[in-house]
Amino acid sequence: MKTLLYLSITLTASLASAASYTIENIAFPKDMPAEVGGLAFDKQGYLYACLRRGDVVVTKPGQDPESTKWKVFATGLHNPMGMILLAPGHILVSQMAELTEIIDSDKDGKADQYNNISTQFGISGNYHETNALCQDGKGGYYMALGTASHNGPTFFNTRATYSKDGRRGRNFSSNLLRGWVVHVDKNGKLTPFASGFRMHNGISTSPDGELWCGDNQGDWRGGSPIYNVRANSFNGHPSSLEWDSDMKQFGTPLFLPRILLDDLHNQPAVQISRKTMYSCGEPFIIQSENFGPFLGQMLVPDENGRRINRVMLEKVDGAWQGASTVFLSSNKLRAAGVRIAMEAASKSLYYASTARGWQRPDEGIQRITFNGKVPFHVKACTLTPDGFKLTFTEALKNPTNIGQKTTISSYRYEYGYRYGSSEKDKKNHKISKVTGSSSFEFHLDHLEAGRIYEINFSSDLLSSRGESMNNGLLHYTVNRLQRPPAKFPATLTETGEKIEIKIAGKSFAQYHFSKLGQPIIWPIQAPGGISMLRDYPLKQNTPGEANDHPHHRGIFIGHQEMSRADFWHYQHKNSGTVEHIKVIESRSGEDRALIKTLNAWKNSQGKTIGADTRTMTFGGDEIARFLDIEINMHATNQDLVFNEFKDGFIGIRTHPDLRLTAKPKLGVKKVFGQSRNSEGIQGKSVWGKRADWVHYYGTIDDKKAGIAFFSHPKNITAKKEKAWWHARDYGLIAANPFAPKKLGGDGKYTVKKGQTLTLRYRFVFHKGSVEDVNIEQRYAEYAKEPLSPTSIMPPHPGYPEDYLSQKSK
Amino acid sequence: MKCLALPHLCVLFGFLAVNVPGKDYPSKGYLTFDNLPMGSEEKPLVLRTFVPTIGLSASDVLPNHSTGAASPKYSARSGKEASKQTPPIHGIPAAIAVNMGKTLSYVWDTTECRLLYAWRDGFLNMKNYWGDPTSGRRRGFGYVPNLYGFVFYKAVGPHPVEINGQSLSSLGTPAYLGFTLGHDRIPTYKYKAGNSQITIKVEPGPSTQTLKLSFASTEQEKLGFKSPNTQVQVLKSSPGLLHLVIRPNAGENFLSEEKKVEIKKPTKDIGEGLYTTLGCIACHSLDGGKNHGPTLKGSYGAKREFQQAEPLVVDEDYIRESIEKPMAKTVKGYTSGMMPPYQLQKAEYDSLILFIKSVR
Repeated sequence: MKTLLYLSITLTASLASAASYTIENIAFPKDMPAEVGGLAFDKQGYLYACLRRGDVVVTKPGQDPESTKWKVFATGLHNPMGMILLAPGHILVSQMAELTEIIDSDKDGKADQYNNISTQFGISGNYHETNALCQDGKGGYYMALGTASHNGPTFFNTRATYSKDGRRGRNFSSNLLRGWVVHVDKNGKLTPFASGFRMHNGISTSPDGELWCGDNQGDWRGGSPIYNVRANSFNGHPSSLEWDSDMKQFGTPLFLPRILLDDLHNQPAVQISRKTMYSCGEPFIIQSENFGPFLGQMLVPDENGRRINRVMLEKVDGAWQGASTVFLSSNKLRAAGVRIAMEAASKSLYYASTARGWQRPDEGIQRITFNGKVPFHVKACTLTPDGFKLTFTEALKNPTNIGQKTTISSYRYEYGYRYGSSEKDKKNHKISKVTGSSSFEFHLDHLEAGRIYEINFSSDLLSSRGESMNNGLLHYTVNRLQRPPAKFPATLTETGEKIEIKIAGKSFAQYHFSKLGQPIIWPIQAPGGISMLRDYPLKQNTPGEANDHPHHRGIFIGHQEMSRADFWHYQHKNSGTVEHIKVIESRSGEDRALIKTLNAWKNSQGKTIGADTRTMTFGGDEIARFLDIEINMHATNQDLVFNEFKDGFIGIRTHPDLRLTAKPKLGVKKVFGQSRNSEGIQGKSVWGKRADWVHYYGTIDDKKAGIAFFSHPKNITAKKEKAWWHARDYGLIAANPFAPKKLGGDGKYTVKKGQTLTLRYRFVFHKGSVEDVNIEQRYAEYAKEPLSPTSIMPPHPGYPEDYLSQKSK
Repeated sequence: MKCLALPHLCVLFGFLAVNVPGKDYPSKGYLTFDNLPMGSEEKPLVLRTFVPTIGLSASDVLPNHSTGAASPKYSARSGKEASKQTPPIHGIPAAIAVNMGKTLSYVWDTTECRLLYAWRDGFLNMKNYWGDPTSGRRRGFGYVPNLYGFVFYKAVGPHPVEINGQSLSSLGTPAYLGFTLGHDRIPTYKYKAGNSQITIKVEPGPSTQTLKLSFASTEQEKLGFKSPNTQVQVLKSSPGLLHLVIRPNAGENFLSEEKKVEIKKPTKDIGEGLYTTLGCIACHSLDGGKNHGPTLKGSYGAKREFQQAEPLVVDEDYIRESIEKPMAKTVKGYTSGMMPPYQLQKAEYDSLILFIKSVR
């Protein structure tokens, strides 16, 4: 008896949130399989549920859940997993093969019209291809089209285009648009919206118009991700790229270079930890103040457990990220929650689950009601420059010792073909101090982007009422750090063919991506409006300019011979092109602006050889502007072979005033430039030398100014020495990791198919003299800067055509 | 009753002492756990699901479908493909199956916008798709329900409908628009072909194994019906209207349950196959990765600690017990009740044990 009593006490204590929320079962006829795929209230308070075997049933929930009576509204649907109530007797359902409008036109309570709204997507016959649905807030819809699983087959006869390449892998996209979020307008016109999903079983729009998807645990899913779905974004799972016309040119999605996939990946806003969630059901935003102190937060049921997670989101550096914790975990909850619905201003939500077919049967609908007793837990968690700021739903008994009652650690999840990830690269963090008495700022010794921070509250951290917080575990996904206060805010303005970058309101640079056969940055102004580049040939007839080397256009990237095509000159017979595919992301308005693009490298016949993703970061201070270029060269279609040539790889053509020598014949009569490098070499002799940086300085239009060009010390060079410079007296400065050996360069370099070469450079454009700008110190700071965070990834598995042919030998 | 098309059918019919199971839908008005749902003439059951192909000619009857292909077997463990292939299976992905009781079941396809086949004395056994009513477990690798009963009509040749003498198959891909249910609750399908909007209703014909098809078009065109090897009796034909009766053109009996293949000798390979088809793969990794259930890697001979049982070393008995009665012991750190119980043949348990032993 004693043990029993003890057991019941610990049980109550371990379910603190359960003490604030009552769970009741909504009755169903015993023989009705209540495997819910969609759940929604209409405006008259009727609750609709669509069930896996095909029925849509309706009830008006009353006080007593045991006496719930259901009526059948519609039948004959194929595994419907999404439903929208448009009007009484008028619903929209996403079933396996179709988005269907269902109408009860004669108002007898039973639907009599089943209209096809869209079938413009593929279906392979695989059991896994279910579709979820939500409204776009403008009269249209978003549909989440799940992928197929290799645990099931596909048919001989499928609908819409079938692709053998899309069929490859664990979860796959053999038929049109599987793994996508698509938009369907009110007339049924379907447009692809975002790719990269595995099984986004559930899709929602929040009141602010943002679109959210969870995804099920699995391949390319380290934890249980919550995505903020942006238009044209790729959300990590590669198979769906089969239906992206921009990406098809780079080959089989499953075998794309890992770093390319990582670069394209719209990182999940929140990675719900595998400690608290297996698979995400549909995200639900709490819009009622009567359901406890969590208005505006997101609830996500666990499709593989008896728990609901709570997600707190905020926008940091232009993107959503945030924290998650367990909201409710109880043996009373049915396993496998998929959908949540709530009546406006209600104290109760309705939680629906379905597990049949892949787990012990446990299905139905439950009502979860807030009983007015505020649970003691974290109410909000936001990121600070060096840690986290937390507020609680209740005052603390002893606010001064919270630091001792809290531990903070962090880890990363792997991104790759494996099913889920263990916690990698774990770190324990020292809490250097905690400040505040009602909200608490935890200052950490170290905070890093690309990590999941685990904040663990001890069970003896008590509220003023003496309650302990249970499930005192919180995970914050730090994708981005808080930017420092911006004295020189950087902004971007995109027009059809270029993006202009301004620093503190003054034009700094323009990125031209569409018309020149390769992306070009030009013109560039240092502080004080000093023009830093030659205009020719982008602008003709600027006085004092020579018209030599017309391929030296602003800042440009290329090489005289990469895989037999010439990317340095655009005017030659075998010249290739670098085609802008898309802006992957851009950030603006902080202390720096950032543009990340995807580009295709094509030879003179237009055949795609490789790809690059380049991240350009723009910023500035009192006397200088900086531009960082981090470029990943991806060997997508074949090995990238950079043959040894002096003309490469990233070049800048300076303003004619910065030339070291004049050339009256070409119209450059007077020059004012000097040059030096990090090794103390000066003048024309910097050409063909190795150095960390090269600096051209002097006066431009009678104003003191200069350009320093840094090569990051981590850049590869075959000889493991400093960068080799192709820096000419006439104003070309280029860093070339593939220069001929006989000129002292590093020689030929090959990036193997499936692999990526990363190179990083910085340009500093300054006003004033050499003494004013202190290049040495600026380089030392640059050398310490980390790369943009990349995921931990399992190695590329190799190409089947390669390893299978080796095996047969 | 006269046997017009296939005289031997009459003989066959005499032998079919059919005891049609599953009549829940007409009495309940909703689908139950019964995997053999049936409607009635008064309450037709409309069921959208994957359906079998039953040997229809893909090139003639399914031209608007794309063609699937074999795919390389994929190792989720190494991320590599093998030279072995996974073949596709037969099935139709986007059709509508309807049962009107003993006399008529049929499948009408939304991709081809045509009737594919019809049968009597049965409907679909949904167990492959809906799973076992008690364990919830799915039955096999594919999910196509089994057709049972006697198939008396199968679509042959290109789309049979003609509009003003022009075959519908020459008008491009037809576009399915939806269906309505009249007071008789029988679906009338609507689709677009060229500039025409056609409706079709399928009902039992005047005698056993016949079908009544009622076509209508809003544009008052002359509608025709032409199908090789199919006897058709026109009941009514006027501009924009065509009612006809189709006589049986096939005769094929399907049993409700597929015969179970008896495994004689357990092998590791059979075990590996079961690991995939039974769904073990979803929760038990082979590479040491943590999931809902413990990894199989190196599990045999390893020491296990349990939530409420004495620790033990993994042996054959324990593996068998874990498959048959997964609730018996729950390994520490895992959630109890995640795994359904599996009732297998003895050789299947033994094959799984051999496979698990091999995962080192």
